[in-house]
Amino acid sequence: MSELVDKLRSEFQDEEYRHSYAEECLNTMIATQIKVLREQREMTQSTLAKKAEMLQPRLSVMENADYSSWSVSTLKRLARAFDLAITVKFEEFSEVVLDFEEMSKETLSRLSFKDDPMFRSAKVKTHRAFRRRRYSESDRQTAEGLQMNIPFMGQVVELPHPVSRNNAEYSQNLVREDSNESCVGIAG
Amino acid sequence: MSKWTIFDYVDPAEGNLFREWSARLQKKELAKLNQRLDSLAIHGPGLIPGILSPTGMPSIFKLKIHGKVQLRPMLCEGPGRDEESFTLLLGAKEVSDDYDPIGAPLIASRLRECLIKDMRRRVFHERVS
Repeated sequence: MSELVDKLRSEFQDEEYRHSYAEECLNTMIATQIKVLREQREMTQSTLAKKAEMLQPRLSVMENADYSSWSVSTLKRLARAFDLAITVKFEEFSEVVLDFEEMSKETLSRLSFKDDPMFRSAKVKTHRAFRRRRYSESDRQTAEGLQMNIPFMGQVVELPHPVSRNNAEYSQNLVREDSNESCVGIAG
Repeated sequence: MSKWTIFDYVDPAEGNLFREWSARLQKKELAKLNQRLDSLAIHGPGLIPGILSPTGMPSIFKLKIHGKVQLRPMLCEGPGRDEESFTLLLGAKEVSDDYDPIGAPLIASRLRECLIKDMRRRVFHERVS
């Protein structure tokens, strides 16, 4: 399953330990995602800071794994600057650990509204099973197997990874204007 | 999972002092330390911004772990060639803008030099939990 979860199984029996560990994961993931999203959009810290109406030195501090003084209002401003929505939800510890373990540029990148395929064409249907999730490798293989069974104009539809190519190409591949029943899976 | 290997420096006379330092930490501090070390082992130095902080001493970095106690463990990359690894050289804290032990980056730098001369002075990281 997960080496990290295996390692943490006994350690997490201690309540204080698991909460402290998870909080550090949160800090690490927020800082990393801000940097990944900024670079995905080819923005400098100054550009992003200006869009988020904050000073560049403050953004620089937030783009650091040891920053921990997050506020939802600041994150909302950054979300707006990225033209992304933001969600805050309570989560199981296992999910947090898996997210942290599988964290990468690919899993943290997100498309701005203008590139979001769901809003680019009414013909695109996104299967919930293929929404961007934190798959383990076996889950991913299963998902890819399922994907093979989805008929699309009599062909197997091979979908690009969200950030393995540039956003425009990615969206272009998802929006199949010539089909009446596009079936789209987002694996990644 | 782990892409990078974490080692502990071992003193020939006193053994694994980093492990002993870790064992004296409170649970909360230990959880934060282990999370940072897991971050390094899984993601290396390239993905997470600011995971390694410079110390002013060449090749010596610190992990900045905030809390009631400001942990500043000292480490270096490698130092073996062609290996994706880090070696934890010294457990340290920051108290009133100074290190405990005083001169921690310099001490760590000397330990690194000792390690380069004798690469047997390290063991795979011994996790304390």
